[in-house]
Amino acid sequence: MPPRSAHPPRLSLKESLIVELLLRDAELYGLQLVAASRGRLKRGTVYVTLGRMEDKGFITSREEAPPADEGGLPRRLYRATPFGRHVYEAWNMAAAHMALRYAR
Amino acid sequence: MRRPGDRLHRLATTLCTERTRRRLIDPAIADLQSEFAVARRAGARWHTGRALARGYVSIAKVLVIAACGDLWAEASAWQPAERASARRGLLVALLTTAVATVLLVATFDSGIQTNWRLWGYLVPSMLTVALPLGLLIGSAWTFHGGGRTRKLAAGCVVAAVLCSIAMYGNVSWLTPESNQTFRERAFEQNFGPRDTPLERGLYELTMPDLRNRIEQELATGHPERAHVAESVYYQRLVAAVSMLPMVGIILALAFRREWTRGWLIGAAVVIFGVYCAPFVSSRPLSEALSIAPIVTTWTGPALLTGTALLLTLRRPRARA
Repeated sequence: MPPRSAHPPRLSLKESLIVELLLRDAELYGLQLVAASRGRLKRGTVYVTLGRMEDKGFITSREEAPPADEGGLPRRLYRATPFGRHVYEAWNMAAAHMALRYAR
Repeated sequence: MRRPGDRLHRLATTLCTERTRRRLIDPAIADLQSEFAVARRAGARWHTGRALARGYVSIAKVLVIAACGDLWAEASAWQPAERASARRGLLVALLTTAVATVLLVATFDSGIQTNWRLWGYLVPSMLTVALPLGLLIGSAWTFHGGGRTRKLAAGCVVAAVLCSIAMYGNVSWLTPESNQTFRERAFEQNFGPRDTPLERGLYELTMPDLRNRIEQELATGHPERAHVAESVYYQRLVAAVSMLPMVGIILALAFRREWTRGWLIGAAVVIFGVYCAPFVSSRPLSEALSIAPIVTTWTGPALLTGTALLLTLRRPRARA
């Protein structure tokens, strides 16, 4: 359930890119998102952006089982929520509308 | 078996809330460990090293951002007990600083007769010694029993950083100016007014002037005089940067070793001794052993920083 707010949800360029990548590939790790973004997302900030997007309800995540042979921490997989998809589509529609209206 | 990122994971446990660690730091470390394992299986040593370096830099970034976010969130919601502890610590720090400053000023021997009205000009230079002592005793007083909270620790770190900045301003500009004013007024009181201002000594030069003096002495073929000026230059920098490692040791002892107040104050006194050592010994040591002043002056802070890091990163001993 997305958090209730007095303002309409906003999607930054990075957030929009992440939702787009997640909608394309269903579930991805943070590093896979960085690789798929072709330099538009940075390793140092992607996890912070993902955490913020989870707070906003745009994406959700789950922990994978830790690798049995090597141990280590469990990796986290991210996926877009229906709310995230909805906001992403609404923003894209708004952008397309603005482009049509104000394009010269 | 130790995996890459294990130490950072432990550091994150100390610095961040569990929620932040699980959501931001752990995924970054898990991705690094996985990338490292893949690269190692492939046998590409260069790729393994590159993955490690890039992973560590990115995790460090995430850690800084997450820790700052946590600090900000926590700083806005203090419990009454934490406020009381912080107030007590601040009061003890201020009191210690004030008493130490007064004692140092009152026992200062300038070599000539001075009026007590001039004592105010000595305060900035005495703060170089009194402020770290106040900060250390205040921190040691705060972090025991129920006062051992992350919010207070964050407040203490912020206080140490602010003290560092204030100290840099003090030793760079305020102390040289007040020292010079003290000398001129004291001279005037004893020998009457002068037509020309007194020539400034090393302790009366601001940081840029001191740097110019070092270059000047080297250019005119006086390396021994340049060494003395260098010692003073580095001592001032040491005074400014030592606050955080000193407080770091107190925090590590309080949180990881759970030391009592008495032990913490004892540790604060020892740490203060290490802080003061370069001011007393760096110059004679540098001259006697022909070692560069940068080495003798920075040994103390390096020792403090190393101890702070070791205590913070080392796994605490298991209790029986």
